[in-house]
Amino acid sequence: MNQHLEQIPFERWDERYRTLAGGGMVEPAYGGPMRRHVDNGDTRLTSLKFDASASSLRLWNFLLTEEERLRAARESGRKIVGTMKDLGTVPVMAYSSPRLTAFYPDGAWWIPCVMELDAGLLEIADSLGVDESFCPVRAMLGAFATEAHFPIPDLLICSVGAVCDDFSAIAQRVNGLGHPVVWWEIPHRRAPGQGEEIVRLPGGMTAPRSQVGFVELELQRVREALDEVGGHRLSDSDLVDGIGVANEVRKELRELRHLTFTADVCPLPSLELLIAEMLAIHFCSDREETLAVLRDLVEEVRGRVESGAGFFRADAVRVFWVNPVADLRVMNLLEERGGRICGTEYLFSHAIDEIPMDIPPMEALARVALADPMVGSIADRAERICRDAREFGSEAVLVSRIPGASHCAVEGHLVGNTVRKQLGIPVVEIEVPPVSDPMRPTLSTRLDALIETARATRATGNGGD
Amino acid sequence: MSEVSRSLFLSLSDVNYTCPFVPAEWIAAHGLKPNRIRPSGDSSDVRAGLCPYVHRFLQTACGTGDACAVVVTTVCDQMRRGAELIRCECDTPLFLMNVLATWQNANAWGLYRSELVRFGRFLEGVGGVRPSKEDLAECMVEYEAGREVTRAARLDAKGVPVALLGGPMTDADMEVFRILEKCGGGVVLDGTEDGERTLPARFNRRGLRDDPVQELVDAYFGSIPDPFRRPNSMLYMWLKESLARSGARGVILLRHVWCDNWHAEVDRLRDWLEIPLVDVVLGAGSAVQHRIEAFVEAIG
Repeated sequence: MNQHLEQIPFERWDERYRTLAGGGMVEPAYGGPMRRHVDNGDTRLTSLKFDASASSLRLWNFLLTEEERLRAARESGRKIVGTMKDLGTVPVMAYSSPRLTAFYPDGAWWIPCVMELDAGLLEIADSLGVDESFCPVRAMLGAFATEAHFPIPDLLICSVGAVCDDFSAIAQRVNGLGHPVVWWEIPHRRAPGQGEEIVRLPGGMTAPRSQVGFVELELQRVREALDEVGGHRLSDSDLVDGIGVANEVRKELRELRHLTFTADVCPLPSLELLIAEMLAIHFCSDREETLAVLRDLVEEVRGRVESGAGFFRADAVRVFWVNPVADLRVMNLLEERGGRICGTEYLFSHAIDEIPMDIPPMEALARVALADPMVGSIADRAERICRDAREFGSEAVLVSRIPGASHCAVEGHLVGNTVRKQLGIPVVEIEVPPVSDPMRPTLSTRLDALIETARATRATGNGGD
Repeated sequence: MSEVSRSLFLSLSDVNYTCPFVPAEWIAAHGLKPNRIRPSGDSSDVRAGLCPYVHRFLQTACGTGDACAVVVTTVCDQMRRGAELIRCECDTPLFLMNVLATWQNANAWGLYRSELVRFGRFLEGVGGVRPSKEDLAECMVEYEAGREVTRAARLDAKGVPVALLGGPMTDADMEVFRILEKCGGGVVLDGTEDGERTLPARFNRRGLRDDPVQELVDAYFGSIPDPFRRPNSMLYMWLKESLARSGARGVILLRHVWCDNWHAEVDRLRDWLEIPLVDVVLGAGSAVQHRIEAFVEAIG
């Protein structure tokens, strides 16, 4: 008989922590009760529901102690690199150096959610003329202005070109605040023309050889900047080793996703899986610990799958989620309305795909950068979503629009059309601000509509291709 | 456009585009007709979340019956993604040209050149003919002469001297000029996308002879200042020089509601400029008129 697991609300974490500690739980240095994060201002946690395992606690603690880790890295003499926008490529290079720690200042976009707007970052962005017509990543501008949420990096690197205008414009303003930026170009990935050599990218897309060569040269400029700030010349051998470790992380994550998405009953709630996926993009400022956290989680989930243990109703609708959501609470909401996550594309699928090891490392990294779903066509991205949704047996697709984001207006429409045409499953778009409480009735209604339609499709057998 | 160039056209098929980084003479030299569109349409016609300019460009560019191609660039993310709507909703062949944001290294300049070459192949595919070096140079000289007329025409503005700055404008947005005229403002500098800011640099005669394609690269990619460029310091350098020369007493920044690159710079420009700036969101109904009138009155 299957064992039914329950998420716990925040107020039960103290008791749960005592139980785990009393049971001999061994914690890493950053371990401790969840309550301290709320005491430090992360008040949104009190609105969330959690997987109550020791592995989950470790995951949350790892995520929520990143700022301390960055400050410790600086104190130990390591240089801090702020990598912006590329989501997954430059950190692989930075962590190949023994003297660099990299993180994404972009991550500040979740601060207004996690701190329930108390940090005032959006107000600061407003005061700098970057208002709510921009995507919530404008919180990053506020974070640079206050210098209160992460150590100001010794080096800032930002990919531009085929990226969201919101981000590029805000990064330029960061530069204007007196933080010099090394800009590197990621061109729009185009289909190879007639007679052009075709290169296959991680994730199955293709690009012309000339574009791979161009990006390789751009990344070479990044490499030189990393060499300079780290005082260490990154060799190809360093990069090969770095790619090797990144691939181990990606492999664990793929295993976690596969186990979670394909299990009969959901073995890991969507919130914890989202956080686990986020670790892949910059290792949460500690590459080796990321690997340990993920292995722990994979072991936990594998055990649940083998024993048939899981969350939610057994007939929960299998939903594919597109784009990260600005308010984490909405991940819980989907599950409350009868869904479970079976497939995700949070803008960084290229940070999960394996990096090729049989080609020179700089070319491999260029291929990864070009595999970014956001630099190519929406059609390419939609194809990937359909392929993954098919693999994971998704019964519905939820496109979570990011308020103000320059790509969302066209994207959701085209992704939806492709999914409906290829898979015949329902698609709904929602738009979620950093704190969505006032919109909960509307969001619930839209989620209900998606879930009910998917159930009806399941009952009539009309879905699928 | 002179009769000589017109006679070079193989057909009257338009190549519709709007981005100033697309060299008109490159299209003309291929024997096709460059048609830089100023989109038409009602300002109340909107598509949720989509920049109204992009929306109207897509409608106008695809709605022109005799167009043999539409060209869109990556200068703006919404336009880049709008290209996919063209693919889905319009039969006209589309060329999406990579125009890079970075410009301070040779790699970027090289890619712009290779994009021009790729664009040339596309033009051949829709009926154009690859020009000889001499034909291209001749066409470039003619277009440059036309631009000199445009430059000279800006000098006789009357009224309270104002500078315009900002992105592209639709037909309906041209109302701004009527409003200015009516309230006593005179445009001494047009830094919108249709104005002198986006005119390419003058060609080097020796370059025209030796390598006209590179001359296009230098004149367009190498000199047009725009807020999408990273860094965007070229825009500020251009402004410093142009404003000093113009004698403008104030700057009217014209932008569409979703134009992040201009919008994000408004505050910085206000701090940086030594003259007042008013931020005007195009398509905002009577607010456009009221803001411009009040601004001209205030600086008058």
